[in-house]
Amino acid sequence: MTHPTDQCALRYQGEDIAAWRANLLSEEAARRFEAHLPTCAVCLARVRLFTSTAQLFQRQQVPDLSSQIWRSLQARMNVPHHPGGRMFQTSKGAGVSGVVLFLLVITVFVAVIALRPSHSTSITSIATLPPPTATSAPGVCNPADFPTRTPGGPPTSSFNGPAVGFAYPPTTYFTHVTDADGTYLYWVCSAGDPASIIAFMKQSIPAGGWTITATTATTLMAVQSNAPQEGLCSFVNIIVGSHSGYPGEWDAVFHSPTANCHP
Amino acid sequence: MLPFSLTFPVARPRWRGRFLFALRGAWDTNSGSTSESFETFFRRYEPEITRYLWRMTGDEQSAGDLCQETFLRAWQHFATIRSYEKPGAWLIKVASNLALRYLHQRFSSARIVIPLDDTLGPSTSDHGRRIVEQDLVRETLLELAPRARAMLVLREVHGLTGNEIAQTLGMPRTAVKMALWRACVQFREQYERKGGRP
Repeated sequence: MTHPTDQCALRYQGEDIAAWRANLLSEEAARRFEAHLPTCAVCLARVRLFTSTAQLFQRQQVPDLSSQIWRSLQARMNVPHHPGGRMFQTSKGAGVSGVVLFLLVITVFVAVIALRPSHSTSITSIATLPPPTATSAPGVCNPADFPTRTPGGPPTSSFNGPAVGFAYPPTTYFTHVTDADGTYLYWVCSAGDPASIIAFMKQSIPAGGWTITATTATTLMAVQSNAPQEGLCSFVNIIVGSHSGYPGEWDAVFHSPTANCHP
Repeated sequence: MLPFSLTFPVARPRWRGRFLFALRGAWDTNSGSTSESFETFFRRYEPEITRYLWRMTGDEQSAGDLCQETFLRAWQHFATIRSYEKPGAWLIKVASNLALRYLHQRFSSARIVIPLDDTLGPSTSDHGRRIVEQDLVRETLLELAPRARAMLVLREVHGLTGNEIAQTLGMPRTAVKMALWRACVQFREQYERKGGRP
């Protein structure tokens, strides 16, 4: 009886059969192999090894988990603080809440500005931000989110290019939450509130050689060309105000350089 | 901890770049109608992702958790993913990463062995035989190294090409054919050693 480990007369190996089945052979090579296959008991046995394995897998009965996964997923989609950080509203109800919260923040902001002495400078100016000294009041952040507290902000030094970073607000510390496929999420805690933090970052990011490409009241996106000759760019997303009850806590998401600065 | 460490090669495959740009879609906003579309998206792709993760992990709980995590990430980047020609490929890639990481963390020092139930021993009925066969296939599959398991399932169940497997698992295209063959032979040898029918 022919066995898949026997030797084929044309010296086709098991991996050649795997390559053929996985469309890894060139058209010409595939044609040659297909002409040979019906005449070779060894290669046929190897092909059968794959097909019978596939049949075994296909006969497996997989549990239906759809409803259960969807229910759990919906719950997590509507939770403000999942581990990946909340980046947008997830339902109409949440959208309304967001608008109300936004209006409330704006009202408080306007009231604060109106009550400030006339010689005060704007809160959005970096010159008005407290210097990064130990005397700055620490940010109000959820201690549970910071099992480790690395002083300063997440590292911003460039890859394959000049080590240009940007400054972070006073008394900043951070924790590395997760990374996957070149995307790095950090939770950051800084002195101040969402408005002052985003205002600071709007000043410090361009000063660090990055270009701001989009901003809202609570978000900021910036890009930095790391190696222009190769078209590599890094990206950073800043999200403030997404940790309700903790005004000093915000998210920084870095995307490692890719081969295309203009998706 | 460095976001831009030297571990990232300069010459990155172009598909990987596209994947990273997909992640940047997190910046886009979603609306109520997006939420409805996401459910349609979920209903369409979830069965395939669950099947894959169930075979990868061998248990419903882990498969469900990882599937949920996969779609949570899809939700975060949905505005971009929905415009992809093959959003399923993105999902499989994320599911693979999650599953491999999970298996590495949880079971690096201990093999998962789900013993056959003695009461299901040799059976003459077709139904009984099917149950035994299913358990045997699952047990054997779980004994393969996670990457070999992923490769075999992606190829033989989900029909991915060698190039797609290479992209999904982040391995050189040239290594796929050899690894696929070895995984298949290893699976069959172990399956038959346990009494599975050739």
